[in-house]
This record gives sequence, structure tokens and C-alpha cells, in this order.
Amino acid sequence: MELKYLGLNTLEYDEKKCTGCGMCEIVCPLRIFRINGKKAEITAKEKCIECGACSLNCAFGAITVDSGPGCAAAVLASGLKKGSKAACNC
Amino acid sequence: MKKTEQPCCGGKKEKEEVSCSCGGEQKEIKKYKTVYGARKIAIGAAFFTRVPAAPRVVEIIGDIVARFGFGRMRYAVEPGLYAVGSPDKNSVVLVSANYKMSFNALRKELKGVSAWILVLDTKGVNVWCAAGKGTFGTDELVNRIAKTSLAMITAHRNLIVPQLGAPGVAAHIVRKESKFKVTFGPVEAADIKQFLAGGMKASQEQRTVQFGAIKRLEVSLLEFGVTFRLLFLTAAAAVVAASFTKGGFSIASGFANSAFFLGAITIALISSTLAPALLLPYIPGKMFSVKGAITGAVFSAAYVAAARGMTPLTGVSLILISTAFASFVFMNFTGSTTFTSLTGVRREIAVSVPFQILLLAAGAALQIIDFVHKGGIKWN
Repeated sequence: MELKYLGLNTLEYDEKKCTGCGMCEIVCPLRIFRINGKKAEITAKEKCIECGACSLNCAFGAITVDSGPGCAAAVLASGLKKGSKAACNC
Repeated sequence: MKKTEQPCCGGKKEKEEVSCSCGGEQKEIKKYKTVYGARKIAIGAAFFTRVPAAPRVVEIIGDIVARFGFGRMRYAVEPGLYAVGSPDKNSVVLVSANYKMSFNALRKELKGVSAWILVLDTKGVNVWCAAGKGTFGTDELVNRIAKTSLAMITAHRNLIVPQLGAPGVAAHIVRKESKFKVTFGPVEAADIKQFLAGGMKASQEQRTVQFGAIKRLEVSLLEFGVTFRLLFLTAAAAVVAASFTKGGFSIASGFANSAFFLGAITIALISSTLAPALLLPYIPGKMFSVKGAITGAVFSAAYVAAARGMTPLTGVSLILISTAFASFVFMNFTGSTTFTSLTGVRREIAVSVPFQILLLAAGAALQIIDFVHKGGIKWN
């Protein structure tokens, strides 16, 4: 059974910058990208977990995502202690 | 967030960034865990450590203990170059983290294979989490290649990095700075042999992060361990408090008097960790707070229904508090899963926490009313 979350994320893709190298297709652990012809395309944006693998490995700056841990403990800790280090269990 | 500034425990941190630093300040690991059967071998100025592929029983037990979160942040092996089998200058180089569980998971898949393992200093954190923090990252990889004199040991310039290291390792930058070419391997170490034998190709399935029932149960043991420690103190305090009777101090009556409470705490522990993790796809709701609330409510209601001689107020109060507790605790399970995003988690917290506070407050209010009504707490 496929697990789904809220479908909220900051993934953005600029097709004009894409060279079709295929790195995003390789690194995405949710298999969101697919090379179609000479360009990558996003097949299921709602699945993005904002891990940042695609944008870090896109040598052409075609992908941006505000990456970070999808972890409530980390969010709560960083929200409660602004400016100090957040704690999480990952 | 800039690409070069992944949330990182020891490093740069932009304002308002959610950083994950594994239990507060990242402590320097002073003593690394022993790898049994390890032998250091020098080649010129460089050296590597030869290790057996199979971890010993005591090391497998170490993995299990770490699963529950005990000593997890110190469960690290020394970073550096390791050898499994009898690798030579043409053998493959596999990159791993220095969390001992990650290292063990990789080497036990290498029975009958000769390979180098380049272990990065991830401060004892697993590959995926460390990649998110940037400790399993481009800079550390480039530095570790230099520190281990890897270029003198191998004739080729190829590295196999686990796919889940990709959030921290920019392959094109590694190549520019070290001349080593990064190939991303499969998600799971269990697929590495097939990957090596099959011409460095991973199937779609091997490139997809899986989160089946066994995996969910494995990772929920951590939340279980953390919650257990929290509740254990509460339970111990309750037993001690209940041991002060009219006839003097008696631990036996302490247990007898708090039996209902101890049962309720056990139900709270299970219904906030193991149960919703295992039943994850079958519980309604997309938010973890909702799934946790449902499990907490159902479990505690069943417990209240099975118990006898309880006032309705106590029963309702217990259900409300258990629901709030399981909702909050299970919300933190988001960090252990493979399909949640930071943006989504922020939304979930904003929506859920007011409800959790409301449930807790209502439960506490009923408890106080009940207390006043009865003239004292009588759990039985």
C-alpha cells in the first residue's frame, strides 16, 4: 500500500536549464523525475520529501528545493529555541 | 537554503533553518567502538584496516541495542579506509558512514567480495540523516579521499556512494575537486552485490526507498525506547507515591495501588509508538497526529472498557489524555519515516498542537473534577 503524506513541498524545476543528464532521475529516492526525450520531467511532485538530493546534484541549477528534515521533533525544537541548535532523533 | 549549506550539526546554520543535530549539541565522539577481527595494515605512509565481512554476535547485539536508542549517539567506528576480503588497486571503493550499524549493514553484504570501504566521519550518524545534515557530504568525502591517500591505493578513480548519500554529496563537485567519479549505488546495502555484479545498474525498485512493515517496526523501536524511558520515571514515581499507605511504606501495596495506572501507561507506550507504526497504512488520516490520536483513543477506550470499578469521569479523562499523548508522540515519528517533507510537517504541527493541548487540558480538568468529587485520587 502506498504511503502518502500531505503533498506539501517547495520543489521547483526550471526545464529551460535542464540538459537531460539524468542525475535527478538517479538520486531521487521517491522516483519523482523521469527523463523524457532530452528533458527531465516531474511525474509526481506531491511525493517530494525535500531531501535535496536532486537540487544538490543538478550541476545546471535547474532544480531548487528548500530542503530539511521532515521531522516534527526537529521543527518543534528549532521553533522553541530560536537561534540555538534544534534537536531531533534521526 | 543554499545548496552548500545543508543543515549541519557542527557547521553553518542559517537563521530559522530547521537543523537536526541529534540530541542537542553534536558531541565529539571520543572513543570509537571496536570492530572485532580488525587489523591495521600500512602501505607506505598510508594505512587501512582489514575487517571480516561478518560482524560477531556481540556486534549484532550492539546493533539491536542501538535500535532502541541506547548509546546510539556514541555507536561509531573510526573513519578511514577499510578492506573486506583482499582488495587490490583495481577493487571497488564503497563509501559509508561511521555509524556502526551502517558499517555493519554494508560489510555483512560483502561476503566473498573484495572491496574497499571508505568510512566518512558522520559523527556516528547513518548515511541518510548525515547526508541531510551535510556531514555525509561533498567536503568530508573530498577530505577523506585525501586523508586516506586513496589515490595511491587504487589505480582507478571511481567511488560508489549509497543513493541515500545524494542529499549531501554533489557528484559533479566531488569529481572537480578530487578527480574521483561518484556512482550512486542502490538504496539498500542488501542490493550491493547484485549492483556490483550487474554492471553498476540498480533497478527502479532498488532506487526507491521502501517503508514496509518490518522497516516501520525497526525504526519505531527508537521512539519506543525514548518514550519508555520517559514513562518509566513516571511509573516509578507513581509506584513510590502509592507505597505510602496508612500502615506505613510498602512497595507491594504501591504496585497494587498503582496497577491500573501502570496498565494505562503501558497502553500509552504501545499506542503511541509500535502500534501506529506497524498499522500506519491502515489507520485513517494523512497526518501522523491524527493516526496517533486514533490509536491512542481506541487502545485507551478498550482498556477503560475492560477495567472495572472506575468512575466515568476517570475513564473519559484517561481516554482524553491518552489520545493527546499518542497524537503528540506519534507526530514525532515523522522524522523516522521515508515520505514526509519539512513543509508538510510544519503544517501538521501548526494544525495539530492546539488540538493536542485542548485534549490534554480537558483530560486534566476532568481529572481534577474527579479528584475533588471523590476527595482524593483512587485509581481503583
